[in-house]
Amino acid sequence: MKKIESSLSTWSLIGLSTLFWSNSAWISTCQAMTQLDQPDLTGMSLEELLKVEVTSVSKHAQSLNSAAAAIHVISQEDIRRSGATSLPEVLRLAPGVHVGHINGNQWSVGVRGLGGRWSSQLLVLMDGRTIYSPLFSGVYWEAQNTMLEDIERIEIIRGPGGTLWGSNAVNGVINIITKSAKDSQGALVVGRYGTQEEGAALRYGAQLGEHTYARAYAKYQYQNPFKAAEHRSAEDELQSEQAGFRIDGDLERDNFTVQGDIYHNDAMQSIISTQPGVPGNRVIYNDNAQMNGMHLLGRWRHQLENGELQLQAYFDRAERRDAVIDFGIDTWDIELQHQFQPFDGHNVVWGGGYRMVNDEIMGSYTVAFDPLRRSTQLYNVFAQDEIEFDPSLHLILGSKFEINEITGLEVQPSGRLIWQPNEQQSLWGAISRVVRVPSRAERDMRLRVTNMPFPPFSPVTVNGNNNAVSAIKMLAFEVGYRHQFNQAFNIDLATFYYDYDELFTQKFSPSNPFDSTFANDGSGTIYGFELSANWQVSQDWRLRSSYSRAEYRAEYKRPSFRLSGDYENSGPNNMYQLQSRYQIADNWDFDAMFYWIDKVGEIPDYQRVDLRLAWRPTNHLELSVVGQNLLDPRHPEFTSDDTLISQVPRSVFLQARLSY
Amino acid sequence: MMRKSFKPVYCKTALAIGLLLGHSWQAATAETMDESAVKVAFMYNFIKFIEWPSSALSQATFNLCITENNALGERPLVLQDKKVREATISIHFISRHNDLSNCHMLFIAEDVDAYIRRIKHRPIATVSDKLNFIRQGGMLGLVRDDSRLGFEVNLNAARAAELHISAQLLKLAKTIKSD
Repeated sequence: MKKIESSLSTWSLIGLSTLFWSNSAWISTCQAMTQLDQPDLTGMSLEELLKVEVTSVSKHAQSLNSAAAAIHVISQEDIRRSGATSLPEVLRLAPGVHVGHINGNQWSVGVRGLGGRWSSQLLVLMDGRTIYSPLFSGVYWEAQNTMLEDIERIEIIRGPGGTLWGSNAVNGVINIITKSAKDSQGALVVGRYGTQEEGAALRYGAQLGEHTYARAYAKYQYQNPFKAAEHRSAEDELQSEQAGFRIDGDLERDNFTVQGDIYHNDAMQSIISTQPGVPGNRVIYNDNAQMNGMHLLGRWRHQLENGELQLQAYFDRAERRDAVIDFGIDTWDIELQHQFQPFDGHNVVWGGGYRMVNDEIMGSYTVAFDPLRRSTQLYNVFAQDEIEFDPSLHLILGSKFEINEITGLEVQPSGRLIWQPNEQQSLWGAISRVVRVPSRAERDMRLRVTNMPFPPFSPVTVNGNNNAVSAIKMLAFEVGYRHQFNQAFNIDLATFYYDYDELFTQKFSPSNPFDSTFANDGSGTIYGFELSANWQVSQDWRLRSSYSRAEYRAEYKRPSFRLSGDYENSGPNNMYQLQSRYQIADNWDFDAMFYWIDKVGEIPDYQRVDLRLAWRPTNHLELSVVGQNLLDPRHPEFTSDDTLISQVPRSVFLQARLSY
Repeated sequence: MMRKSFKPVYCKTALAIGLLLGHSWQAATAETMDESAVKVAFMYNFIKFIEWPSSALSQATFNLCITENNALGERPLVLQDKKVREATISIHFISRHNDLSNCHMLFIAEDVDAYIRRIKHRPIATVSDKLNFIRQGGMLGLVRDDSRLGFEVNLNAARAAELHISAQLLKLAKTIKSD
């Protein structure tokens, strides 16, 4: 007691006498915290209170409690404490999401199965812009290098999002939302160095006018190669550079956003290719794949008396050049959305959009597209009504209508019901229909998988089927339950049953035994559940755990078959994770993550432990050391169709984060 | 135990470095605070920045009433006997059967509609952390944005109750509902 009292008087003297000191509230907070058992924050000003970070498991769950979907939100704090250095790594934190680091520069991300590099059943959005390549309907994760520090949150919806998000949102929607410029002001410098990677990023945010804020950033990252199975380097390193900006304006009834970025990636790969007149196929080592791209997006939101209007438009260019392909894709997209309450108890959202994709693809003997150029147009209209029968019972009905030039009109309706008998519990159910429209690959691709081993070494080819291929259809049934036991503990159970029809398959052509074409002769089901729990053990310690289970069944109508990406091996049957966040002291964090992922096809099951220790010597500086994959010297996480198998090594890095 | 002993050392070191670097500190700390404590602090600020009609605040006591089933625990007691302008704050934990006419501020933790109806047009400032509170007629809604707290204001409700909300408070609100 005496010690504290004398410290207090010393501080008061320093505080009063310093000319540099401009914030007396800081001192009083320090004083207050040492005096009472419970913190007395009444000395803080409103501005300060608005910046305070609060812990409360229950509140985090509360806002999600009324969602009639299996949704998980990854917050900026979750990202910071996970030690993740790339987007796919962050996504590991969510239940039901299977993330595999294929090699030094490629990832597989799947929700409830159907993963793979070309995982096409997932819709991924960055601030409202889709980031999947319309070429293969998959995401080049290695080209997504936004500053993780400026991500506000990531919403992951497991299950069809067809009504609001449209086709391709078959197995789930990943919605990445970056911070508004207002929330990312000042300078932020991050530097990282380790056994497997190194990088640096700088962001600067400033106020441009009374209501306008802006930020700009630049980021550099280098990933060392992984290990090949035989204790050799897999020679699959990745170097990426990205820069971007964001401007937000906030007026009384309007706000607008303009953002853009530009990137350049260099990845090394050992790619499997087919050469004319050569049996089998050959590996091209040290192929330097180059990716370039940029985007520009504008969004305007207007508050009406009774709702909100939003208009968004963007342009996106993506290019990739490697040993087998050279393409450039331009996407133009415009979308309007209106939310309003026509009568009491009804909350309607409706809108429409138009998208044009122009591409040019130069292929090779291995893979080519015919025609070389295409201009694809997509129109859509959607509407959704949230009906409140009772504050505890809500029904959401909606549908999206899409017109595309390949399959014509696609209707994607859904109905969701949520019942909240009291503050602690909620029960929800949903039935939806979603489609996955064929991409350029299924329509126009000519893929020479391998050559026959005997002369004349004819190629075995998979051909696109522009005239006859149709969309994959999926009918989903979901039921979920949430229970908040008390302030400190809650659980979330989500079950699902997906019925797929017209899955893409290959069919040999009757005239040529080495030629196959895309068809829709597959059908299948995926069913399972995820159970997650959140436990705030004490003020300083929080545990989060989830168990995910899924069964995959697929059938192909003869003589169709599946050449690659077997549906039954597209994901693990079981996944378990446990995250621990422990506050050793005010300025020391200790975070631990444990994962167990069941086998997928030939990849054996593995356990993974990531640890992070962080120290904040001052308010502006955070030093951390992160160890990843600590249990294994190396292990593979996912197969690849076109590159050599590679193993994720054990790694550790040091990071310094400075803010002004 | 370990936590308390770290705090004063941290504060002192931080102070020293601050003097060396000559920067003005931002008060936002990296540590996380208990949510209920922050909510109580917000209420204290609301009291400071709202003006009640002189008829309502005639006595020297400011009555802060809190309904049942709230998640604030004993935190509101930190405001007991604090002075705001000329009045002293007095905390009352009430149930639905209590007389609300003497309350100046009411924290509603359950049955939002019922309470709002009961005190309609009375000069009582209503506060809550329930979802969409201001859309239901509440005056000050505490909202959570990821890991931070903010607040929304329903100016119509405040005007109807003859309460004047200072511009300083309004400019920091996340949302203002007003015609």
